[in-house]
Amino acid sequence: MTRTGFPHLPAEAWELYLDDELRGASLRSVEEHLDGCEDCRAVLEHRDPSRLFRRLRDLPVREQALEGLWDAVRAEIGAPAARPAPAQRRERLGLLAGAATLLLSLVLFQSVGPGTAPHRTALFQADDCTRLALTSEECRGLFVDVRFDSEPPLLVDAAADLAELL
Amino acid sequence: MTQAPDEAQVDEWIGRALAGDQEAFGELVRAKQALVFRAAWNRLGDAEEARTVAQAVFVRLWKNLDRFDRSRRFDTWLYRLASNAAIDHHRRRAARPASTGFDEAFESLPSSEPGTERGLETREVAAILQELTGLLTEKQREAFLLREVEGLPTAEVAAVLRTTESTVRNHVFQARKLLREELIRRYPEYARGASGEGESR
Repeated sequence: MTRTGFPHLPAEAWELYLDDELRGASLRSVEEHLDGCEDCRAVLEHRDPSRLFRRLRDLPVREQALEGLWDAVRAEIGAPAARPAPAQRRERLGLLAGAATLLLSLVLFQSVGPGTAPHRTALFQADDCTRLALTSEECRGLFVDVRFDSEPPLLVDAAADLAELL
Repeated sequence: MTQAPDEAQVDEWIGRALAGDQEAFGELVRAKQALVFRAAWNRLGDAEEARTVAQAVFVRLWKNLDRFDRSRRFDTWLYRLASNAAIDHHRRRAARPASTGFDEAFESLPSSEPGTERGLETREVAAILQELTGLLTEKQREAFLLREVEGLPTAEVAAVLRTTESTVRNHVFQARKLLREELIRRYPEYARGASGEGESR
């Protein structure tokens, strides 16, 4: 037994192998040994997280865990005609960008304006359409600068986080 | 378990879904739902949350399918959607929970370690994955999960993460090093291995 616990081959070779630093003939020598040595393969899995966690690859997912997933997706995406055509999407994104500019302007105005009114007010001053537009899925990935009172500014994903803040 | 569809079949479903055919999109969902669920579970460690994320991913997929470049590999794009959605979800929750709902979500597999005295059950391996990958940086975790757990080639991991192959290799190397050290430190009884002899380093 070597000092690293592997039954065969020098400890240094295993260390280098685990660090992915073996090349050429040395690498082939260790791999050939592993191919034929069940004991070393078993120990290797205990030392190599990649080999250990590889056991989770392609692990069969139980049918009941996925049962009804498509039905839930279908219910959310709506009627067949609901998927917007690319041109419509671009038009809508243009409008959303306009709404985002409006909200950002309001936030900026509040942040540099006189008085100590909470910046949260700026968000509520945006009309319902603006808030609805910004928190829609279409705005996922659009980041908005939000400021509350004297707290540091938050850069949040409009679709993911703004709804919760509002 | 259903047979994985080939790329031509997937492309046909995508083409029909782009034309508004929900049934074709349903076929695509059914074919890819296990991949997305497993990817979400690997990042969240919670079966219920993984399902919620999987549902959100497919809704987003439906809305953004026209952005997919059909000359590229679909699974790469899907992994990116799933990974981003799980990361978003993870950032918004208060704390990383312990592995939850594993037995309800996955088929149990026997320990595959012939000759070992202390073989870990798959559920234990999954719990260790959740615990240890929580120690990695976000980039290290993503690179490690995609490359070593989910088995994507390095080039594909680089495409998912929008980075270079050498950066992926570096993240995976750093992740493996840290995980190996922590595996031995936190689970010495497991790291003793087949012989039952103690770690002597």
